[in-house]
Amino acid sequence: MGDVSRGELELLLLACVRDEPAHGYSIIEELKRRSRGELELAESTIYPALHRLETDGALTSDWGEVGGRRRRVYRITRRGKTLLGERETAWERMNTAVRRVIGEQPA
Amino acid sequence: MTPDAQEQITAYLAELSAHLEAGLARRQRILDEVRGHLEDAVDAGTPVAEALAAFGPPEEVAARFGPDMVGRVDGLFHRAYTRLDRSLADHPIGTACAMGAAGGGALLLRHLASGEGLPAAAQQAYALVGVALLGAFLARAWLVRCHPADSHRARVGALASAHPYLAALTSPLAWMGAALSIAMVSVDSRLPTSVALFMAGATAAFSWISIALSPGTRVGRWLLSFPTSRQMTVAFGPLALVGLAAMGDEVVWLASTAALLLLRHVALTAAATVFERGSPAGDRRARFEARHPALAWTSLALAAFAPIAVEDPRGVGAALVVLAGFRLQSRSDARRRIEAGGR
Repeated sequence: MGDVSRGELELLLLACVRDEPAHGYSIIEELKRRSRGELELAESTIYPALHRLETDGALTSDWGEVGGRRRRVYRITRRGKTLLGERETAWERMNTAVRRVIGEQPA
Repeated sequence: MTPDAQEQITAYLAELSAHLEAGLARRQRILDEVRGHLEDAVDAGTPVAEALAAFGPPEEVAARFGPDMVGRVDGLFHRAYTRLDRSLADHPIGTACAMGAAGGGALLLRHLASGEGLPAAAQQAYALVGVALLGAFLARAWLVRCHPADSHRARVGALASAHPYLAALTSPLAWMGAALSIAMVSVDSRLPTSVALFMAGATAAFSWISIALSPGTRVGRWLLSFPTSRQMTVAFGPLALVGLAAMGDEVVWLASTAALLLLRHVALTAAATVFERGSPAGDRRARFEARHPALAWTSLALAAFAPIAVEDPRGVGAALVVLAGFRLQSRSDARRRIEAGGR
């Protein structure tokens, strides 16, 4: 499984940095870990999405030292947390609706 | 991280940089982030070829980042320039003749429309400008052809990487700017004929000198075997001499233009030398990048240009030349930073 929409990708990225700041590579690793390898996203889609989220004010970023190396570290903003909440709600609704359509009763 | 892995990452980033349509700051940020990602992947045990493949083809990756406003304008400029440059490299004589005919025709129409004949001084100046442009065009075509590669972009990339200053010197756009300013000068009655001829003649001489310096000649190969900073000094030496000679002419606008050119060459020489010494590796590179002087040099050049623009609007021609040079310089700077990061 690999195809996710732009909105879903942004939801996933915001969720990965909700608890602590992270740099691009570690976000990708976290995505793989949390999805247990089910989400095989094209790596190069992550950085443009991070840049978009930063432009939208959902993330901020700075250069920092990570493991002795200079890395761009992203952290979620208040606006990003609000956006994450909205996207989670929308996703839950969508998920519920899809399950109803395909005949499975949501728990 | 092995040197081989670094080299492959550097080559990948150079290609990515060539496809990115972004301003200098955003471009550098993207390249730094991608480098960091690839280094992390390789350090985590992924073979470098696999890491590069997983990240995707440079052209696709660049398209995903999309253009910013600077990149959009730059892209338009660059596409038009590339078309002209490719045409020049593939058909130098035809392109030079076509451009000469178009330029000459336009000037002739201007004189006919004004009801004046073509002044003798203007005729001589145009002839010299034609010789200058032909020399510049042939030099450019020769330089590009000396760097065989699969595509025109790759050929120019190899040229700019190996000899960024000669690449900038023979840029048709820069020379067109020079020719335009000379043509403007030559029809302006306020300017002494001798000065117009001097400018046109100096341009012609220098364009042919650049042919002699090209790697297609024995002298050129010998000169270009020097380290980069010295190579640049050698390559710009004749032009700097022209500037000094012009200053000696005690013509205000000409002295200003010459001073501007000289300032630019000094600034570039200093910047390249500092860069060469300051960018071997790791933290030193990061510190250098933090105070990278590209913006400072650009501001300095623009500041130097301001009084000329106020004093004499004809300086616009000179500004075009300078800005075109800076644009090429910023691209080659980005490439050099990538390469320095790989060492």
